[in-house]
Amino acid sequence: MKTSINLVSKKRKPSAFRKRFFVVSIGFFSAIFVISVSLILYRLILQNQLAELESDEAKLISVVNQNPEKKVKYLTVRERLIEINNIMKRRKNINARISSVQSSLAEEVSITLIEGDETSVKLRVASENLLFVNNLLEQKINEYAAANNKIIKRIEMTSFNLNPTSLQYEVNFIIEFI
Amino acid sequence: MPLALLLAGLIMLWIIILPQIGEVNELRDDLDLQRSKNDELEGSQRVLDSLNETALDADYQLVMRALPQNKSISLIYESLVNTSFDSNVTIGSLNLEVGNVYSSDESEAPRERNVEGVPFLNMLVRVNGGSAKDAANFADVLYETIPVVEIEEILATDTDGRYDVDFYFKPIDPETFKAQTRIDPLGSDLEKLLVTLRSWDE
Repeated sequence: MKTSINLVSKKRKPSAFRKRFFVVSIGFFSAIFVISVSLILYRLILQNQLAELESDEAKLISVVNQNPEKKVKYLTVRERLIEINNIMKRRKNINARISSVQSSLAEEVSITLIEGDETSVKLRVASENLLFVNNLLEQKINEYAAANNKIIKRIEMTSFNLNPTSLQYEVNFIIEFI
Repeated sequence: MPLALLLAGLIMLWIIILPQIGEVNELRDDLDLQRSKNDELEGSQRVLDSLNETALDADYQLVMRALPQNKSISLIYESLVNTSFDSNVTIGSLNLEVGNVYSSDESEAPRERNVEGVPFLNMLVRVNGGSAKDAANFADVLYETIPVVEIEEILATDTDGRYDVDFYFKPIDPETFKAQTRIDPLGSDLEKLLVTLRSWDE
């Protein structure tokens, strides 16, 4: 007959590592589950928002196309204005140069010939008074060149003569632009 | 049991979370794109709502004369005559570039000259009378009339003036605008240009 009783269970007690592993597993699974459900819900919300926006887009397109004639007219005006703007920005300002030369040099002498293109302006001025011609050559041209030195490359007097018919002194010169 | 949970968690991460993250990011991009599309359409609607039909009609007629659809000889002639009145000279002659008008053979077909895609009709214009100053002034006035032109060369003397002028035109196909839904406002540059063109047309 046994005289002692073993009160310690034969079943081994789970170790601390196992307990921790169990808790971590539960925690990991729960976190994954919550994140999955949240992501699915978030995706559904976004899909719903996208569907609403797409439906709004269709409505807006129909509103914009409600008056196609007005739309086409406006777009035509806009397109034409863009083209005209481009043309005006790049067009050569020959006339502006000529006007500038005229207003600067032709106070005391008369201009009898102006020829201008993209790069130069040729000018013939005439006067009966030699003092005026002298003033033009000594002062006016220099003043004009100084005021426009950023755009002028060269000014050359190509001829100076007395016209036997009109009895006027004539000076031809060419202004070359940069 | 803990191992099974861990495994299940990993499987969910692989088959649910990772693909969902990709889809959610894609959806957010789609939403941003869609929002900007709708904003653009709302902007287009605002632009159209702000337009006065009578003013739009007038602006349409104006720009179609400023940059005509085709080589409108009558419009060019009208512009030159008006310019000559305003600058104290008379039109002497108009010379158009000589060349093919039509050919069924493509290699011989007339080629339009153009600047950055905008074709032009080149014309030699001669004016009589006035002074060299008046003749030069003709170019100033011509630059502020419609249709829009570019002067390539000017020769002005005491008795006459000669101008090498490009008259711009551009064919237009309204069909290209029918499907367009983006309608931007004119903006300050084009508004200013429109005001300038209106003043030239007065």
